[in-house]
Parts: sequence; structure tokens; C-alpha cells
Amino acid sequence: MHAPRTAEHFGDLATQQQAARLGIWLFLASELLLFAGLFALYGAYRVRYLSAFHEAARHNTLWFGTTNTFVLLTSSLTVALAVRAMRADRRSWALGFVVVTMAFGLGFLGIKAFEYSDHIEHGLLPGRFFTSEVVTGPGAVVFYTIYWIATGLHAVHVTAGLCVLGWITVRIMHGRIDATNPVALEVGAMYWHLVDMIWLYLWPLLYLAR
Amino acid sequence: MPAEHRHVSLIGYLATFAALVLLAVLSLALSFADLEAWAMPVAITIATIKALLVALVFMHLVEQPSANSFVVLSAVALVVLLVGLVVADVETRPTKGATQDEGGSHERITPAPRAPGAESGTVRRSPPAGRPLGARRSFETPDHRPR
Repeated sequence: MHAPRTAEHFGDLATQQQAARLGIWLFLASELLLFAGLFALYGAYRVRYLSAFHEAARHNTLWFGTTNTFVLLTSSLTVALAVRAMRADRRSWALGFVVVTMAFGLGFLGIKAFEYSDHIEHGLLPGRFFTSEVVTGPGAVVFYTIYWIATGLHAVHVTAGLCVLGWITVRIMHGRIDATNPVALEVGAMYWHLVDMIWLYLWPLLYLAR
Repeated sequence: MPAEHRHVSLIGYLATFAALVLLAVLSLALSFADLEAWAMPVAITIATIKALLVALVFMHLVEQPSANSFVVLSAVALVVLLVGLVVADVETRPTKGATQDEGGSHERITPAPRAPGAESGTVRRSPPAGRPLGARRSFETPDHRPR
């Protein structure tokens, strides 16, 4: 068991922990702006191709997207409970909740992979690879290009979040994260919550707007 | 000295989760209702309420110093600015040249006025009539098939 160490330039551990939280918020803000560019792209092309976007969204399987929404919402709960357990010095509960969160994350990626294979089969691909005969027109192609970029980038973030949670799992097991310094877990959990929040916007834009 | 003095309770987490699930179900249900132009604003509003709940409760923003909230609010303001102005830009353009499909949008009563000599520095120009705005990509060829 390692005692948490205060770095030299911080007055005390509490200040160091606050700095870590502010730091992660700043990072999450930059990630939000990354996706904002894609949302702006979507917004602009939606104005241009409104009916085509509705038509194209109908070819997304609503239940895949909705299931994924509930998967991520539940994973947000479990990772928040992990932080709560760690703060209360219940390390094994915290570990359990983090592992469950990772399982949900893998479930999300599994559903996404299945969905992507479905899209590939129907030719609903981005840009020059679009070959669907069922839904046609430049608006549909633009919709699916944005769909693949946005959900692909989101899936990359989910994967990164899983790596972060995996690393945190190892550190909890080694006792490097405990109730006196749970900040590493909090920071990882916050990244996971961002991944959930991005999906909360992707879901209505890409699945519900039919 | 501990950083926070009040923590969200277990009930708080579970109640927030219940609210998130209910809002998602609501959003899903409303997507089947014919709200026409209101469908997107309603969906985005519900998504924003859900995001707020996640940020305040799950991410513990309620417990943290307000400096952290300031960072979040700034980012959100910038996102609103970016998306809002981009959409407003495209919305208020004249629809001349939008042929292949309905062009998606609302009728223009009068085209947006163009300042004289405003060409320099603009990236987009009005296309010749009959050609979609900015159509240069292979997927926008008339037969819609990629090369």
C-alpha cells in the first residue's frame, strides 16, 4: 500500500486533488469542442438536406442505438458508484464497479461492431464507398459520412476510456489508488462520463431524427 | 483537510439514473410523434438536460468549486456559438441551385442580400443555376454512384 504523495509545488494533497479535477475538466472541454466541429458539420448539412437526413436516419437500426444509449447510461452509473465506493474505502466494491463499467463499454463496442457490419453489408458507407441502392442522393451520402466519422471517433474514445479504466483497475489492485487519494479513479470516471455524454447527443441526431 | 464536505448520496445517484432513463424513454417516445420542426430542438433539449444531470451529479460538479463550472460553461458557450452560427449561416442562404432533392429547408421569401464586392475572402460562391452548392465530389455526380 503506497501512501499518496503530494507533489512539491502543491501546498497540500487537497489542493493537488483540486488541480487534477480542474485539469480533467479542461481536457474534457477540449474533447467537447472536438466533437462540436462534427455537430456543426451535421447541423449545416442537415439544413441543406433535411428530408434526405430523415430518410437516411430511418436506415439506422433504432434499437441498436437505443440499446447502446442505455448501456452507456448504466455504465455511467456504475463508474459513479465505483468512485463513491472508493471514497468510502470499499476498494473491492470500487474494483467490481469499474470492471462492470468496462464490461458495459465492451458491450457497447460489440453492438457497434455488429451494427457497422450491418451497414457495410447494405453499402451504407462514407463518401466514395457509399453503394446503397435503397437510400440514394447526396444527402444520404453526407449523412452516412458524418455518421461514420462521428460514431467512429466516439468508438475510438470509448476504446481509450476502456484502456484508462483498465489501467485504473490494475492500480486499484496494486493499492496505488485508495480512499485517501481516489483522484485517479475520479479522473478516469470523468472521461468515461464524457464518452456517455457525447453519445447522448449522437443518439438523437443519428437515430431519433427520422 | 478534505476537499469536499458534502457528497452525493446513494439515493442521489440512483434517482439521477432513474431520471436519465426516463428522459431517454421520453426522447424515444417523442421521436415517434410528429413534431415536425420541433422534433430536433426537443430532442436536443432533452439531451442537454441529461448531460446536465450527468455533469452535476455523476461527475460531481455540484460538489466541486465553481471554477470547474466556469470551465464547463465556457466550453458549452463556445459549442453553442460554433454550432449556432454555422447553422444560422446555412439557414439564411438563398436556395438557388438546390435541385437534387428538396434542398431541405424552409422557403426563402427573399434571397439574402449580397454586399457589393464581397467575393474576395469568401470561400463559397453562388453556383450556376441547376448545380448543387459545392458539388465537386464524386458522390454528387448526377447518377449518385461513386466512381
